Amino acid sequence: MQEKVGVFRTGSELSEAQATVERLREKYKSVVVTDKGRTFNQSLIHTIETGYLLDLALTMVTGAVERTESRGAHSRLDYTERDDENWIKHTLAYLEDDQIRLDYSEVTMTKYEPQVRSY
Amino acid sequence: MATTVDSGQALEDPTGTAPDPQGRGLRQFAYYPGCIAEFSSKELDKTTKALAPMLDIELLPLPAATCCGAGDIAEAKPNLYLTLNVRILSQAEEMGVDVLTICNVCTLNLRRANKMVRDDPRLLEKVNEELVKAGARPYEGTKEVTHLLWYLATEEGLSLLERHGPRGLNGLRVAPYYGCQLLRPSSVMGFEDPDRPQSLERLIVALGGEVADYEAKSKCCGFPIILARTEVALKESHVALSQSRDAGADCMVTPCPLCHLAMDAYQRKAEAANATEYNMPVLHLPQLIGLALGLDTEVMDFKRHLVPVDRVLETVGV
Amino acid sequence: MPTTTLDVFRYQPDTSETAYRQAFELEHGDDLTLLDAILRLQNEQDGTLAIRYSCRSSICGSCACKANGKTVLACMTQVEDVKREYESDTVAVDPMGNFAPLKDLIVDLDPFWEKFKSVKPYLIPDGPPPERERIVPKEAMQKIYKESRCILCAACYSECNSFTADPEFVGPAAFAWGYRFAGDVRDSQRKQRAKLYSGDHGVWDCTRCMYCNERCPKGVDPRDAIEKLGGVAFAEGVTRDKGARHAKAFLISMRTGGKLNETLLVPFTDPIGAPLDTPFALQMLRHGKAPSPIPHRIKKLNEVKALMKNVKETI
Repeated sequence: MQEKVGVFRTGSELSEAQATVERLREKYKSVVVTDKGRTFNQSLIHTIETGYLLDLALTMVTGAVERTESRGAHSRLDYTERDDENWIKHTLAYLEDDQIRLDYSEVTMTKYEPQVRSY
Repeated sequence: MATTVDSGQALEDPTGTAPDPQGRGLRQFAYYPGCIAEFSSKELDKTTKALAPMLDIELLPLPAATCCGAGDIAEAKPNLYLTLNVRILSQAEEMGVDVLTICNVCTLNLRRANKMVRDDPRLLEKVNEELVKAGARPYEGTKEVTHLLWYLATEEGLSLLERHGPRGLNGLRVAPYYGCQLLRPSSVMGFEDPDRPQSLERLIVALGGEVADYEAKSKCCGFPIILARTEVALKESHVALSQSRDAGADCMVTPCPLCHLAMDAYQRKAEAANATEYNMPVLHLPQLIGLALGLDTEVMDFKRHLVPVDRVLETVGV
Repeated sequence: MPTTTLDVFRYQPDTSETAYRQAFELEHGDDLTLLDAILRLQNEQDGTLAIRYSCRSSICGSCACKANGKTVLACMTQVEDVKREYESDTVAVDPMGNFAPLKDLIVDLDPFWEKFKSVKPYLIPDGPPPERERIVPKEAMQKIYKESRCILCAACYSECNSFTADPEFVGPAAFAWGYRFAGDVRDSQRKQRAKLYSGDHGVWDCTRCMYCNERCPKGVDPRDAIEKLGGVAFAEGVTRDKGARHAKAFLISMRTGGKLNETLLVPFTDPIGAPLDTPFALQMLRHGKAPSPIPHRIKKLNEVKALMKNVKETI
């Protein structure tokens, strides 16, 4: 995730990452908790947390692959400009049947309009 | 966790001047024996005074010095503790000499007061104001406090002992007992690693004895609460006493007269409280040195100990 | 790449009631904290190895344990430093002392939390909250700065000699918090706190072994806080405890002679118990430990008397 889904990202690496995360999520279905005990089982906690981390990772990378522009910390080296015409929208992600379904919603703009960032 | 591994750390006396192994001239100190050494443990004071010339030390008295207050005055009246101890340091400063102690607690109290005023000039100013108002001499912060153990455990000190030892300890098995306040807190004491001290071990070996090592050598003897919380204190002294016994020691040695009282005068009480026997003679550090150097045993006044030291004298061959 | 052997205390109550030790080998870079090492072992070699941890940056107080017998925060301890200091490639890792192990390096801290709660570690101001904030001068907060640094890691209890001998001793960190509030100008309960902290297993039970000052990873100096609480007790006139009377005997000695008057010390500390201990007293007498009937008087005692009159306590 650090390597391929960091601030600076490209479409091809994002797709690779997506494939990796999907493969890991398949593997996770047969994960083994190494500590079988009931006392202070940190291995169990780590395992559960890993599962959630994988869900989050899939959410992050799926949304990032689709967004073909740069905006803030999502800095695509293959789409360097901000695309206000097509991409002023919130990405919504749903985990359904073990897949990510994406949807979008409108951004409410009141006082501040999007502007070019210049100093 | 105490170990015998001598990490070879160079031990330096805080006064900056170790004994001269060549024996050229006497080293002068302001002698601060503390209160117990002059009353209940009078044998400690007597032995130290008799030993001093043999160690090229001249002990200058401090006739106007008070008790250091132990932990008690510090607990009751912290500002008074500081002022009284700085007053003692100022008296030594007036004589132009550093302070030599023979008690863990005195050493900590004096060194701590010294550190507090040297680290904070405004504090020193306030203390000096009080001293001057009371008619005493203000302190400039130029003197150091060292314990006889530290002075002798340097390279030079050990050479001095080796040179002077006619009798030696004849393989006497000695359990070193440091206690607490000569080692901790290391930010104030700092002579050696508080978890792996070696000064007593080096001295024992230099004097011809054997070290009976054990883990609890720097655990508390309980003396500070021996009157207020006797039961608790007797559980504490049990640890070092029983471990020394189990390590096959002929005796214990300690650089503190308070620890000595806890482990010698209160030994039978500790045996009763812990349903066991130690039969462990406890020597003051100067007595151990005195035995090795051939000091008259009458001077060392062993009959003042509650636990007889016969087997020690036998082994050493007195 | 250096290699370290970690000789770890193991206790796995789900599989066995007996504790044992296990040696692990780890190859690692130069920058490796003890916590990093344990977590790598947990991740790569044995998932059952357990240690409490959270922030990894010495502020949460979770990971206190012993490295070569010395209580430290694991996240603050560089393995290579320990190896260099002890001149060995093996580091012994143990749980904190004085608490019952629950699993490997995790110990039962319930007694610690009970003691902490027992000192009322919260501000008890007078009356309802004011209109605006309570203005406190900087010097007033400086007075309790050290004690306010406590992160409740319990390292000070791990080697506390009073706590070892008496499991009911309230203990160093609790009293650090006690002084943090007793010394807070906004608190209205100084006298009540002095009474609360002065009872059995209280401040007068501290054996002054200084392990807490030595071990605290945050420079709290709990022993100093205990000492200050003694000062608070004296300032508030709460001095009935034998420990306080012991200190009073010192003060009387100072005023009357300058050195400790041992003839006074024992009966004054314990006016009820001491006279009953005749056999011991006789034993001491027989060994010459009867202090001189004429108390010693230092030179320039007038200076001491003046100091005792003039020096004001600012505790």
